[in-house]
Amino acid sequence: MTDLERRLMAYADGELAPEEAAELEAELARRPELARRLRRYRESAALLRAAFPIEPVPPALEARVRALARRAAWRRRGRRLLPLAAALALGLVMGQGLRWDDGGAGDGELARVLSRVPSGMVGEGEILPTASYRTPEGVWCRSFERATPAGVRAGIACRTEEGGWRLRLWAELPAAAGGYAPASGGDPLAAAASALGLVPLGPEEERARLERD
Amino acid sequence: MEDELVAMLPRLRRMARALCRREEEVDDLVQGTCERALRGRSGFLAGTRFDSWLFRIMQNLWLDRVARERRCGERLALEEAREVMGADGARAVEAHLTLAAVRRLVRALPPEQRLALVLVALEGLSYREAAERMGVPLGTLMSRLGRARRRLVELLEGEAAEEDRR
Repeated sequence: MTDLERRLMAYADGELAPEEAAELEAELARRPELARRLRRYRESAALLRAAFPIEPVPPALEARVRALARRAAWRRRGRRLLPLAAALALGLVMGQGLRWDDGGAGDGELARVLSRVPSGMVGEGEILPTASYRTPEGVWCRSFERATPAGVRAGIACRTEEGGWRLRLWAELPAAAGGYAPASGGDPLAAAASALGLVPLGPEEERARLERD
Repeated sequence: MEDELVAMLPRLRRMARALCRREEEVDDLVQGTCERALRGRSGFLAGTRFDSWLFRIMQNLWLDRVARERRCGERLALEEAREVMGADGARAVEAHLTLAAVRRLVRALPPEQRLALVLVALEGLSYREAAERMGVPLGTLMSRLGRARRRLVELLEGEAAEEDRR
């Protein structure tokens, strides 16, 4: 690229210092072919912007990004659940806020999300299913997390014969600061699920169960 | 951060469309950028510009991918570039200069030139800002930008010559 060409481009982009610009303008007045070249540089910038306009975002992309953002927000809260999972694996189930459920049914919202939403996606009511499992008898169970006014509730629910969901266990943790543990990803209740004798399901198996619903 | 990210999607997509060779890579690059941003949100310094931060993440992610392609798919990329240039036929530019031809030309540029063009002409950075963003001296930025711009200008001139003949 010649020096002149370089200055023309910089001038078209408004990048020339005033005295250089004045010098170039004098040259432009003398040489019409340069003025035409300058016009091309200006046109090229406009053409480029026209070739790559701002366009509407595909709804599917927006939905994926929103799901990612919610998942990330959940991860940050979920980190506080890890010590709980370790406690459950050791059978220390009487910790604060931890209950073995006595058979109460989950509410309709929870049931709808557990029946339809794949693990890792946030469903209605800010409920995030985290994994799918099966009992040794083949009953479908799912772990989930859910925001509550007080903090985070994490639990495991299993399918009933009537097609509903029954909470098997849940724990509630206050949304207090601190207790920040490194993320390990996956399901913070995995250890608890393993203690209950549950077998993890892969994405394919989970999809098959979701579709059946 | 969810709403801030979604608000930036149109501009992120525009940049991705100019950077990616293939249309199907565009949304993937945008999504990958959002994933990195969410993972590295602690890297965002309060008081700095959110859009610049995101563009920088996209640029780095794209450069990683370009480097990977170069390592394992250099020949493929070259063949594609030749194909693209063949369609325009060195100087025998299409009778009607369309925006599609501009897009093809941009995507056939070497990655460094493409990035320089995108940062200055689409994102509106000054030469100095673009040079800093790319981590190169101002002179290097200008010659990359110059080569890219000259190609665009030649495309325009070819079109003008075509019109004169008609």
